[in-house]
Amino acid sequence: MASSPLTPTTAAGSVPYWRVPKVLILAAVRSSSLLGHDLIHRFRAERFQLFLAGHLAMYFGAGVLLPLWEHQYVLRSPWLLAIVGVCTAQCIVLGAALRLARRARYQQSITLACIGNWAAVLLITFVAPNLLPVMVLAALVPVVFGQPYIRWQQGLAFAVITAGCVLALGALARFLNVSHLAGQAPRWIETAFIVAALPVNAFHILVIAWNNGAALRVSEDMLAERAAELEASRARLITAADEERRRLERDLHDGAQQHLVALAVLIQLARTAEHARYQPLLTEASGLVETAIAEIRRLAHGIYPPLLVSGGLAEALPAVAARAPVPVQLNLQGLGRYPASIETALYFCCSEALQNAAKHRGPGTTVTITAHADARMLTLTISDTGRGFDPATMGTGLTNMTDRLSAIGGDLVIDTAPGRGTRVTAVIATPAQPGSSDPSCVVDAEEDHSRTGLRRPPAHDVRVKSVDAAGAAPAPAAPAGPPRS
Amino acid sequence: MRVWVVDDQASFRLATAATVAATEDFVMAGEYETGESAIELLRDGGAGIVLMDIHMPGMGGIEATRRIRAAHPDLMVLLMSTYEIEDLPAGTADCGAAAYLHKENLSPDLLTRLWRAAH
Repeated sequence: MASSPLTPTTAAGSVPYWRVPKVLILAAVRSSSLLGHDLIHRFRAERFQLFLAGHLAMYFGAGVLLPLWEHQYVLRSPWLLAIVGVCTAQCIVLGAALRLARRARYQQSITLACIGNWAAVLLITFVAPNLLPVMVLAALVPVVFGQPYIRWQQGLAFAVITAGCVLALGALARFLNVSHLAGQAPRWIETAFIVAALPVNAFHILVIAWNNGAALRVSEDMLAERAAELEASRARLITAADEERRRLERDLHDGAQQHLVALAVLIQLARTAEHARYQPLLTEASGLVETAIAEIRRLAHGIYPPLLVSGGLAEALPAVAARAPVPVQLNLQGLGRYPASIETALYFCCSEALQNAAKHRGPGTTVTITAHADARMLTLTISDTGRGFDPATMGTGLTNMTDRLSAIGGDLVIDTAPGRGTRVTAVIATPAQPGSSDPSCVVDAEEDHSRTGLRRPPAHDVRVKSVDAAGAAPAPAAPAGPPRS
Repeated sequence: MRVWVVDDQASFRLATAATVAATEDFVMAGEYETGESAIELLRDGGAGIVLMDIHMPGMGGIEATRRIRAAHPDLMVLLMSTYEIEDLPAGTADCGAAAYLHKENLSPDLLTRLWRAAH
């Protein structure tokens, strides 16, 4: 048996130098290529061949050599030659099975070994009924060993056949007591054989069971390791994508947008000059530039919300709420700053939920966004009073958000049904320290929002187009209490 | 009337200079690339208008406005950016700026009207 559960020595390139001797010894002992082989696969292949070879050796030693010796020196009986014949046949069958195993045809191999084994134990018990206990154990061995290599239906069939075989062995020994050898052969040889073979076979079965357990544990460990790796790489991918979006937004804003804005100003300037005949052209150019600016602004905003970096959720959520086509009430007390991955995921969840609410809105639909943060968890609930929808028809947007949140260890629950609104709850564990949770920042955002209002009409005296004079509408000197109701 | 512009984008500084040049009674008094350099160099004070970009590397326009207003209460600071009003960072309202305007709306007419409204 390949007795040790394999240690992870697959990546030869990453083996530390102090482990090289061990790896070389392992390679020599296992006599198979250490490179480019899947661990479990190699484990199975080597183990299988080792088992078959051992089984073959056992039949050859105990079934061919021993009776031949007995026949030569102790008792000349044709029954002994019969045993030799049966066991030689079984040795040939096992040799064929070994060849099949070399070509990785495990199913055929184990089938052959099992059939040969059933026949051999039945015949041997028929010749020497006193060997019943040994033969019962020997009948179990290949089937117990072969289970991991065959389909479950075949495994079940083999187990049933083996049970039948054991029953037949018992019946043979009990009722068909022809006692061919028992009367003639010296008893001590039989006793010695039973005393030696019984524990060997029992031990064999135990080792197989232990080995299967070890293989299971190794593969469980590997599976867990791979799952952790996948989880980490998923989170890394999400973070990298977010970073990229952020960079893209900044590039758009600092690059094309700025040049267009300067262009707009210059065109405006040119319009104030004389030459009335160019006015229509300049007006058209001005309109085009304004459209381009608005377009890029919309695009950049969709890519990554600019406020999220500087102000976190407490500032970015009011902004997204203000854009929503449905009235939104915000309740964001206690929101601090969190890692960018969490803030981004929750922001996009919110924005998606708002789009969803707008899609399924009825007359008078309102949305409430509530944040609840404690030392360990951050919960964001977006509930609307709209028409709701059938969860089976959920769009890709919310599905993507569920994936996105689960990639960073969070959870998104969507509770909805036609006729009763939608409630989206995002929950995520936050790091122990909520970062620089600056309460004034939160209050600022609240005040700012209360000032700007959810669907604030653009009201200002010196507003020319979208100019808003903040100074003329000073933030209320009200104390820091969040002014929401 | 003197006008300073603080913006990290050269193209917009150029546009501002052209606008100021086209505005009657207004002259360009200085251009700065960062909030830090503006605070450092804007020493003489007196009356005037500072056109301040909100998003700049380093200190940023909000903090620069706060400091300039503390040092020179006579200066009128106009915050500018290309973002929507909803996307302005906290502190835009209470940093002491007289107004916020979208950069693309900067024009001689607007400058004159803002200045008149403040006085």
